[in-house]
Amino acid sequence: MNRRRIPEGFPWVLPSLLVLLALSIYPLIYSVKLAAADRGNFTRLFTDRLFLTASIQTIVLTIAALAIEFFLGLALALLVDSLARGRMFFRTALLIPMLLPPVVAAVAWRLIYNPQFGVLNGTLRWLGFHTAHLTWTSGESSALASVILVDVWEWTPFLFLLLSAGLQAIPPEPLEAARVDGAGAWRIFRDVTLPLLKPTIVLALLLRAMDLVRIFDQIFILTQGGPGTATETVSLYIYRTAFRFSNFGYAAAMSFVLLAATMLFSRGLLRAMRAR
Amino acid sequence: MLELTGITKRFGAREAVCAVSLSACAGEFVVLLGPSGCGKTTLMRIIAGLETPDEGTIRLCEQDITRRDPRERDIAMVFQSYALYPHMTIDQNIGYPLRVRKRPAAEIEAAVKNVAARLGLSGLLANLPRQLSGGERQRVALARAIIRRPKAFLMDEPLSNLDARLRVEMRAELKHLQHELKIVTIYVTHDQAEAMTLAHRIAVMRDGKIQQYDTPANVYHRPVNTFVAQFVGSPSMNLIPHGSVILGVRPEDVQLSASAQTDASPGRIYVTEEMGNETIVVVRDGSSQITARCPAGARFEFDSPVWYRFKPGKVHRFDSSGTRIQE
Ligand SMILES: Nc1ncnc2c1ncn2[C@@H]1O[C@H](COP(=O)(O)OP(=O)(O)O)[C@@H](O)[C@H]1O
Ligand SMILES: [Mg+2]
Repeated sequence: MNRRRIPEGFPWVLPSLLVLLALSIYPLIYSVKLAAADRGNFTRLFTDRLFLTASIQTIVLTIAALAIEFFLGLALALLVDSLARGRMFFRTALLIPMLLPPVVAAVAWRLIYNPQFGVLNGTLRWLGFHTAHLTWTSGESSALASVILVDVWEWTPFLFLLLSAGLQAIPPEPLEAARVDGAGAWRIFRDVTLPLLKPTIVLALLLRAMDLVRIFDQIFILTQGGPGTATETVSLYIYRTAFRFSNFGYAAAMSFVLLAATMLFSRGLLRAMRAR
Repeated sequence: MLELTGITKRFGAREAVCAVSLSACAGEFVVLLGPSGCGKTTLMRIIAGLETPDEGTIRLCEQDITRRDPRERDIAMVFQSYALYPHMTIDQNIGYPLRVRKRPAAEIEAAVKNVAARLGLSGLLANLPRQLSGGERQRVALARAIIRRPKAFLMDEPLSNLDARLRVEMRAELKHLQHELKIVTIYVTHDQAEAMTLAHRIAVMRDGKIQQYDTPANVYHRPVNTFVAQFVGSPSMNLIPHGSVILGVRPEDVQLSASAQTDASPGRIYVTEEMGNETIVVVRDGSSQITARCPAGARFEFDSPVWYRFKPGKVHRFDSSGTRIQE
């Protein structure tokens, strides 16, 4: 007889299993139920202009912030790695933005960006610039860029930290061999450092990208998605739909689209990185 | 051609290389021989430009290269730890020095095929380094160095991880190759047989200092001190304290006989080792041991009495500090 037995350790994992069921699995099933209750929830996605705008802005924000943070983080990591001394100091100093609670950082930036009383325009005025047209987060065209700048400020240290650790883990011998083989700094970077750093790069981009597509707190505090819809993102729109307009079904449907898009994007990134 | 003058390198308080002066002529094969930790690798890294000496100068082809970047020295090096590029195939590893120099793809491919065939790597070109054994990796490192025609070769124990048979084969291959290319080569080893067979000149090192720099024959037949005397030659030279001097006799200069002889000293057989082409016999005389090299077929029983004597004119004399006493 092939009777399936309950594994011996089952009673021990039962409590965590119950918690998981209650807090993760049940809400997931419930949200599927919510979204599927009305088929209109999914068809509406295709005609909703605001959802389209929010999606495009989320993509723009993710790609722009990711690119800037990555290149800045890599440049800083290479710079600090090449220092003869003071590495520890820079490594610690550069982490400060990351140590602030995101909400505190966002509130601080809202004050900094204030066109009349903010430090940013104040400094520019002091330097002799005209600041009347510099409205930062309250300008239609500059709001998204301002949000990106805050994210760059806050999260570049994270990429710097990961890439720094990756650089340190590269064994010195292949780099020395390349020097003796006649490679200059750029060739060594391109032919040896970068390929050996690739696993770290993939990990860093993936972690950061997954965080960026569901960006919420900075925007919520800085602009609330405005002015108009200039900084509306998918997560903000979902929040509004669910908790302002109490349309939980439609919000759940959008969440699934966001989840699917994130997974597809991550897979794409992993594929692209593995191929080379 | 290659000239080191007063090279000193300190790591903290420790002197890894100590006032080393050494010169090699064009096309010469120089072997650095010494026990591990004596500073051989450090000296190689200084010549390659991976370390800066604290004192001294390096000249290559009449130019001072002491402060020059490695890439501008035009020296090829085989690293003791192979230092292959882990993400590149063997093919790409070997061809890398040529690719950096922007040679045409067809030329690189032909050159890679050629050296790979020479070193028995032809079947492995598509593999990654981690798929290879230690010996194979070492040959890849060698191939990567000899694919171009540098001003000098540096080889840091390039055969140490090969099995005995392959090591002897590659030794011959290397010697012929170096003769063909006529490029000055500094070769590091702790294996005295390798040093004897390959070198035009051997530099014997100990604790960062060069003890003797001379032809293999002179290092073997006229060692400057007891360290060189014992390090070169296998089995080692017998050193027998004799009053205020130390006598040194090579095992092949010890003659044994089973019966009492005039001018021979008595001892007892401690052990015999049949090598096939010869027999190594260890004789005990009181507290000292004397090793003798005998023709194949020499038979002695354990603990049987034996008489030994040294061939006249073949006895080296060292003073109590170990320095050779000139006759
Ligand atoms: N980077 C380093 N830092 C400190 N000590 C070192 C370093 N490299 C080598 N040494 C020391 O220098 C001595 C010589 O080392 P090495 O040149 O590797 O010897 P060998 O190659 O002859 O075995 C050793 O005692 C070693 O511990
Ligand atoms: Mg060494």
